[in-house]
Amino acid sequence: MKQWSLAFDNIKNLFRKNKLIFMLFFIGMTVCIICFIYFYGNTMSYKVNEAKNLDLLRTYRITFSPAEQTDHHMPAFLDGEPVEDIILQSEIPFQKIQYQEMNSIFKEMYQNGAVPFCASVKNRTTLYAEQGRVTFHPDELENASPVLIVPYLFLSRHSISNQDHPLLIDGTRFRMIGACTLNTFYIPVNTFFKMGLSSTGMKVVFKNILSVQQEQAFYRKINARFPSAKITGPEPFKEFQKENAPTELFMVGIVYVMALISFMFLMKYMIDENRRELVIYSIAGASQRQISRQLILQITLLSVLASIAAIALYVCFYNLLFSKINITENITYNWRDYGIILIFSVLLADLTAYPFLLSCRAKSIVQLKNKCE
Amino acid sequence: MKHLKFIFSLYSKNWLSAILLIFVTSVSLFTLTNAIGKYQFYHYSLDLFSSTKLNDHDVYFMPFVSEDQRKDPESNYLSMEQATSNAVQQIKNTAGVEAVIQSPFLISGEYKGNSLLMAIYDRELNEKFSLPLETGTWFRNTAKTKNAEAIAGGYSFQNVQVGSAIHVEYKKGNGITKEIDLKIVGKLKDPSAFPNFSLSGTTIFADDIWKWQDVLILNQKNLPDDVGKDAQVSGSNFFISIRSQANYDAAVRSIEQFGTVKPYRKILSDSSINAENKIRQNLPIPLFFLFISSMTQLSVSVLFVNKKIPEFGIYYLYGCTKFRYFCSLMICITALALVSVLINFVMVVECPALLHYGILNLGHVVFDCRQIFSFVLPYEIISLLCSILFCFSIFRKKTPIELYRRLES
Repeated sequence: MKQWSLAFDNIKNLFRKNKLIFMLFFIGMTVCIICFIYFYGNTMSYKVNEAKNLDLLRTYRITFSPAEQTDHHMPAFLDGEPVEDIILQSEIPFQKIQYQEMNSIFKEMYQNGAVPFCASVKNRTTLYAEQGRVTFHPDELENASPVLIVPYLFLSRHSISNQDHPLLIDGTRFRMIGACTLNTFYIPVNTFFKMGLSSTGMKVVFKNILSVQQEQAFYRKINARFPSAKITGPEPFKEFQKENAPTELFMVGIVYVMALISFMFLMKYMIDENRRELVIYSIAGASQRQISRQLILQITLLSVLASIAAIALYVCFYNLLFSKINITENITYNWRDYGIILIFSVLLADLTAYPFLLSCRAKSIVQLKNKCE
Repeated sequence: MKHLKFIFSLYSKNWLSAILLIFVTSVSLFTLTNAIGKYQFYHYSLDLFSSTKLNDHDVYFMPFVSEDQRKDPESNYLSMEQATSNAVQQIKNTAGVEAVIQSPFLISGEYKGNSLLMAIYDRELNEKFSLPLETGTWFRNTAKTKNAEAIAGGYSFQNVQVGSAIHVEYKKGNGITKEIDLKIVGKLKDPSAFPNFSLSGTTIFADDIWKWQDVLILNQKNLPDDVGKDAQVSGSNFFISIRSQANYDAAVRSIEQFGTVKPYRKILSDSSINAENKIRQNLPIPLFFLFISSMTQLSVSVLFVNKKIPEFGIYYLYGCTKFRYFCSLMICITALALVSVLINFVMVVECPALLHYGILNLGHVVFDCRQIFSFVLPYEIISLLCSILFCFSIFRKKTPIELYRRLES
């Protein structure tokens, strides 16, 4: 406590002796921390992905084992939930598909002996076109038309010969309307029900990222409805983000440290000007280590104050200024983020200041005294 | 000489802060130049697109090649090229359609060890896609000659003069290397680009329809017959020129049976919005850096003044006026800022070469010395003026006797 009190007194002393330099240092440090906050929000992928409302963070995959018999009542258990889309998944064995080039194309693409088919219940899933049309017309959806969107890989391996190549599934002739970038066949949902396909899985995409409580409630609902189903949420992606976070934080830290070094000369100047104090500490019996610790405490205190000022400014002017210059829209900071920023800005400030403080120490009391005189 | 000694004494005592100031300012200025360069690229591609002779009733066409299109009337399956070609033929026969413009045919070549592309312009491309030239003229000669006319673009042709003859090697389809002599009649403005309609999508921007590479544009009309045989089709999409606004709606309806259509005006407006979005995305980071760099400059200036101010008492006794002493100090600070600007200038001048050889990869960016005079120099002058005024406000309050006493204490 004595050390902290002394450090605080020293800061007051630094301010009294060199008001201008002190203010420049403090403002500079605050600006650097504001930059740190900005770069943290705009470069850390977990913040950016959250702001983008990335579908990987709001998609839940449910695997049924054994496959569930599906009709149009089946997705109704999710009525009332803020669901953007439900994608039913099924697999059709090779035997049920008649296609001249089946052996050479399907077997290479799908090695488990079945072809994956999907249907979007709310028709809100965006498919990216490689060729042709990748959306169904309303009448195709309504009338359960035998149309399908194929994977581009399938189309690109399509045999080019002078023969007709109809694609028959369970005896029904399907018409290909386009090719998408995915590796799955897409059919209208009513066609899916009409064919009486069993669902091997279901993909639920929510409108927004779920909170922990909402996620648990959803899991309970799924477990109650499908006791044997296996649910995979966005956890693997979140883990991946977590793995990347230290590297990203390190990069943001480097920018902060580089900016901060420019202002550490001011701190060194102030300490140099205040060298008499250090001589007095040495005469009073303080070791070099204690003096260093004292100087580090001063930096810590100053960086804490600057961090608080920076966070306060950032929060106050967020809507007015900082949100408008964000690279990704809708970036939000919570208190956990500000906590991380506070801890890292203080630690990095100490780390940056350390070489400067070392040069402020002299080897002996005589050297210090001579330097002062 | 004594001024120089004074300046060097200041630098020698503060060398680390001086180097850091130069480093921080140079990095900040380069991020600014890069951000402006990116914005200029999108603007340049838009200008290039506007400079073509396309008009409001021309459309970008991306053909469907799905099941239906790949069947001929005899129910036979066609290759994608055949299916596209059939669709194009039918579009050409549509009422109101004036011309279908396809991407230039390409031949890979080599000139003095640098790989390049030779883009063969047909009549339609010549009419609609003549590009702005730095020097020279667009194709005039339509007769077949030994030295075919070419328009050069890109870093590889930096030292090639208009009117000179060049010798280019290219590979034929069977792998045999052939040579062709070309006469340069014009040089494209930098960065060089030529039309390439290969991108499909719901949104098409002006920069998507150009290929940004060193190129020799050749005129199909005066090219030896055997050269064109080795050319490859470069893009799968087309521009369709519709005869008049009166035919527009009906023609577009017919064309839409074969694929997706994006009107010329829509591409222009989308690209303009895209360019504004790009500057919005690219500018904040340089602005943060610049703010830090200005703060650093101010801090270092104040530090220099504070460290040197007590010595003024002695200099005064030797006859140095307050003004001259202050000017000497400010020369030191100005010199540091000028070094940063100079570094930035060298980077801007040298970047095209570094980008060309792949030493540096900054994505699509246009570096131009005008950036230095329009943005970097004004910023640096304002920042420097602020620092000088701030330092002056500190300096003017002190009298020589006060400073002498401070030195003595």
